[in-house]
Amino acid sequence: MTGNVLLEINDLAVEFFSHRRKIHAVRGLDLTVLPGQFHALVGESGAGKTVTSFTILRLLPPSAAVTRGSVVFQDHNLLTLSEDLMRNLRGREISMIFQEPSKYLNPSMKAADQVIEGIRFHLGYSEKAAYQWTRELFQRVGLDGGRTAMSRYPHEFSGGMRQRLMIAMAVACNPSLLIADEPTTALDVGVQRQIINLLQELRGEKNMAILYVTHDIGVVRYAADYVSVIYTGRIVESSPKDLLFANPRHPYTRLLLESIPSRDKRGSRLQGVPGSIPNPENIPPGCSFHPRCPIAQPICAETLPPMVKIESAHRCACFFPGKDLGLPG
Amino acid sequence: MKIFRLFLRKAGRLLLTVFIISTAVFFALRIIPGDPALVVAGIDASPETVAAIQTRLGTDRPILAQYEEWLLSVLRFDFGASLFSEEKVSALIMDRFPLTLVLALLGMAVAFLLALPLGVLSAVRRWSFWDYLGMIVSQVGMAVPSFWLGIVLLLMFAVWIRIFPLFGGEGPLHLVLPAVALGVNRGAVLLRLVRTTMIEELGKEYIITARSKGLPERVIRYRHALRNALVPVVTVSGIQFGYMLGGAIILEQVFSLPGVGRLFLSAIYQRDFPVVQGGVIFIAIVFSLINFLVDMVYALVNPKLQAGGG
Repeated sequence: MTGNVLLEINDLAVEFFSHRRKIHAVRGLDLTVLPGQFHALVGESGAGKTVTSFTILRLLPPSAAVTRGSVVFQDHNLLTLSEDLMRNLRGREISMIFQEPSKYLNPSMKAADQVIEGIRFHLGYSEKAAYQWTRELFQRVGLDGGRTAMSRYPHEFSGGMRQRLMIAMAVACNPSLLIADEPTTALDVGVQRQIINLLQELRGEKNMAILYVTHDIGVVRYAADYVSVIYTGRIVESSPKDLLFANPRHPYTRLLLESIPSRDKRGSRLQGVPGSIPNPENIPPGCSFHPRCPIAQPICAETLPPMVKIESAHRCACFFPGKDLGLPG
Repeated sequence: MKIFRLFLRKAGRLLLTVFIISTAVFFALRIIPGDPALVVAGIDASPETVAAIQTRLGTDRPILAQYEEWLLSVLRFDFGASLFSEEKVSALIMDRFPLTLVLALLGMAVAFLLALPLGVLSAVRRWSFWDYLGMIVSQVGMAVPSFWLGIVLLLMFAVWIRIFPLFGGEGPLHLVLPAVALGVNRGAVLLRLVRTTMIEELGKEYIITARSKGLPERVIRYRHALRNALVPVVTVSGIQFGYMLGGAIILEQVFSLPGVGRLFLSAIYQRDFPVVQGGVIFIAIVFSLINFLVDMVYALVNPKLQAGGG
């Protein structure tokens, strides 16, 4: 099994401690990413998407603790790896791009230098070779590779260009996994498409898997191979994209899909998911979605539904998968 | 290009400041009672002698003519001669200023040596031994006036343990204790600032990016966090350097060092007006020049200013 799997997260639980209160950010999450896969991790904000991606790179703040589970990447359990070995993986085998590139770039460092330092550290390139490689990367991601352009500072770039710069940094050492944490949320719609297309191209060229964290179902439909739907720190449905969009089983997934307007449903009301995500300090027992679920039964409030196979790789954690939600229209 | 415009604007402000201070000094000395000619001649002098001295000093001429001449003399950096030694004021100042400057620079070096390592260490290992040590050092350092620290240091290291000389002189050993006395006080302020800005920078998102690139912690701290943390530190340390010159003037008294401080103080006691005038203008110019340099350095370390240049 391990031969074909790039990243496998098993029963991961992450808790935050703040002011003596315990917050369950991730509660028994399972996730498998295959080499070269565009894997979308979808959910509302506060569902634990970002915490999961930060856990993979072990970048959680000191107030967070992993209480259970394992994160296995290419046969290494990342949670028990020494700090030195972990550092060798970061930026080289697993890299990350973030939601707001303006905050995640060093304001006082020239654009090219922010790319060069990783290349020099991981690949041991000479100053000149690293500069040359950075110039190629700049051109590849659609930035000006001229000497003056490369020595600009991040604030002289537009939002889209900053995200391109982040991407150049992230792919500089040809990682096998790129974690993209809502990389297009802060960008204009037109630029969003360009960035996603760029990521798709780079994925093909470098045979790099992408774990794409988002709340935007439209992006998922456009780009993903495989989708995992996350709700209060657990995966509720995971499936190859086409199967999921053709036949969503979990009520949460179905409501999420209802929330995007599509051509054949134009004119019908935008449904969305009723209610709001529960307070992570006080997550409902049983299936945590039951208070918002239109088809909830007494059992849903008592027992946690296990992940069951629907067909081939399509799995869902619901006692009543696919039952009619009784939605109008 | 923007940085050049910034340079011009700041240089203009520098000249304006010096002009305003020159004017203030000129009229202040005309308003305060007491004729300088009388001070030179003595109370018992005959009116003829006083008039002769007034002619020599130029104080008998119309006030606007005097003002014009005064402004020209400021431009030429020529403030006439001392009423007593009859040496040129500019020569007197330039003779003694290097010592004061070296003392202030050494004080600044002590302040940085204290503030940078301890400030960074306090920020990186918060609530550790080093952080508490830093807090104690900065609290005590800010509370203790530098002249008192100077006296204590003299007592300890020149009287009880005779490592350093007690009085005056020009050798480098003579500057060690006053530089420490000067630097500790200012370093205490900078230490707090370095700690605060460093903690702030280490909490920013670009530090997470640097970690996600797999960079060693040392590189993250110094190349990423410290560089950004130093932007406000540079500004404040420029202002600190101005205070440092003022402090040097006081410590010259404690340590009997022949710097400009001693020159100006004795000129004030003796009512040696040309020296006092020249001294005030000189200090004002040095202060403005430091501010100007700080602004330029700030623009260089802060790329946003370089480009935005607003």
